[in-house]
Amino acid sequence: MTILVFIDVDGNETRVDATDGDTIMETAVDHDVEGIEAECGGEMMCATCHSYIDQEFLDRLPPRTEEENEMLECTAAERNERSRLTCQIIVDPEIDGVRIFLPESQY
Amino acid sequence: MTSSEHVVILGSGQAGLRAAARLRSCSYGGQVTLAGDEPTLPYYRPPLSKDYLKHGNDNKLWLRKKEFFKKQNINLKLGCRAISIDRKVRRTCFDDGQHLDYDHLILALGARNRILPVPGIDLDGVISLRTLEDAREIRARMTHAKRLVVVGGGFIGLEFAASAHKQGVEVTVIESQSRLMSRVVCPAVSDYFLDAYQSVGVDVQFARRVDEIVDDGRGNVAGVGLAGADAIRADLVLIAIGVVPNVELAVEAGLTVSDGIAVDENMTASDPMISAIGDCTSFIHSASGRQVRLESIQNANDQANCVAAKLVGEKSPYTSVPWFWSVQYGGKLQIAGLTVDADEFVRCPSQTGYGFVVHCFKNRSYLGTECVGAPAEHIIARKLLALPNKVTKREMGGCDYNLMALLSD
Repeated sequence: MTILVFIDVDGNETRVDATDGDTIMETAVDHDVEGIEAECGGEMMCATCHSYIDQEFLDRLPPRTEEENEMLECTAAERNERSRLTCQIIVDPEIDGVRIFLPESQY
Repeated sequence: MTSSEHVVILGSGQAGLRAAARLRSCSYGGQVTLAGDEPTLPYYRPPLSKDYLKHGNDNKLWLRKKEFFKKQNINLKLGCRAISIDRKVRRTCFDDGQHLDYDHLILALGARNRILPVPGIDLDGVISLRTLEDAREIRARMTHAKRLVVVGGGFIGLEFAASAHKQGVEVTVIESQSRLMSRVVCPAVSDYFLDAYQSVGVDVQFARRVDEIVDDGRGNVAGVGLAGADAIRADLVLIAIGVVPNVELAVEAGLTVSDGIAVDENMTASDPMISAIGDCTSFIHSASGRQVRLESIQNANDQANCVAAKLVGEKSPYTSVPWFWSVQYGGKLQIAGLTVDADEFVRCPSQTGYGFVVHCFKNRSYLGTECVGAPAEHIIARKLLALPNKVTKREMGGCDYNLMALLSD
């Protein structure tokens, strides 16, 4: 069981006990974490599951695919080097404690 | 609504689930019951013609885990079919003999596959794809299928054709019109995908009418008979010729139905205590003024959000930009807007991706964009369509337009 920490723009933290094998997006949606919309259900069509991943954990993640890179060009909130589409990140013990910074908006 | 009031949602698909979840996330304090005739938890349908056929993992499909419903206090009534709505006493009756009384009823009844009324349609090996149960059966059959005929060259037929072909099945697609996905895309996009399928060896035949499914003598599919053309051998036949909205309950209850349960811009049906959302509805598309019925995840989600907002007192008319996607051989197809009535097309290479886009216009007014392998431009097109003032063809210019600049004007 891996802990994910979602942090909203006001600094409020929500700690979630995630299931390994789920994506971060699925975990957020299941736990009703506000700020991740996932309009397309994880098919990389909408860029509404965008978040900023804590630098410390970024390197532990598999790199962005070209497709994810392209979709990140059109996020509502500004893209930076810590931007990821959370539907593409699978939860595993390697990222236990990862801090996920939610953007101001997904639209 | 007070906590003693009860919203009943008929239909546990995308729209129904989304309405239930949104009611709670908008702090609706009344009772919420989500009822559906499928016995499983509500699930995400798009993967059924794509990834699910490969991995077969049901757990990847659930829209919410079962703990969610307990936590959010959403009652589930699954595996029972609603058989009547009594609008006078506000009661829905089910085939298990139970009933639910409502203060507000949301019809999220979805659609069902159109039947091909030809001899042999009930033979073993003739399949259709809509539900998880269908998909499970199809997966089992695909392990020993050798020749598949897909009747219908629309989204579902083509996605399934690609999935099957990737698993080594020989595939023929039969399409009654003269091009693929003719209901939804422009000719350039049809041609692009035709080429993608033909180049990997999928046989595609146009302007063909199926007039029978051929029996092998033992009640199994042996082939597909075509009017005026040679029959095609097959051991598996997918019928994918579109859907019809599930309006029967609404018709019997006396609601206004016109190719879908008619709703206004707040999802209200012809009875103020009843709303309808998703594939089963018909409504006026605000941008074009046309009456439409949309079969899409976007419409199900956005209409669900709209009805939930109404029920918590934050009414906001439905003006969402329609958008669709499909993933097939040839790549990612995304459509922003309703482009079917277009009389002018401007095809451009993608400015960001590997593919191309076709901007569609009617009377010089921008209707939308069909994107192949251009996901970033799809998102921009959606934003353009959401602008309060309509964009014209002159403003878009030729292929050297700057979409981002148009957005910031």
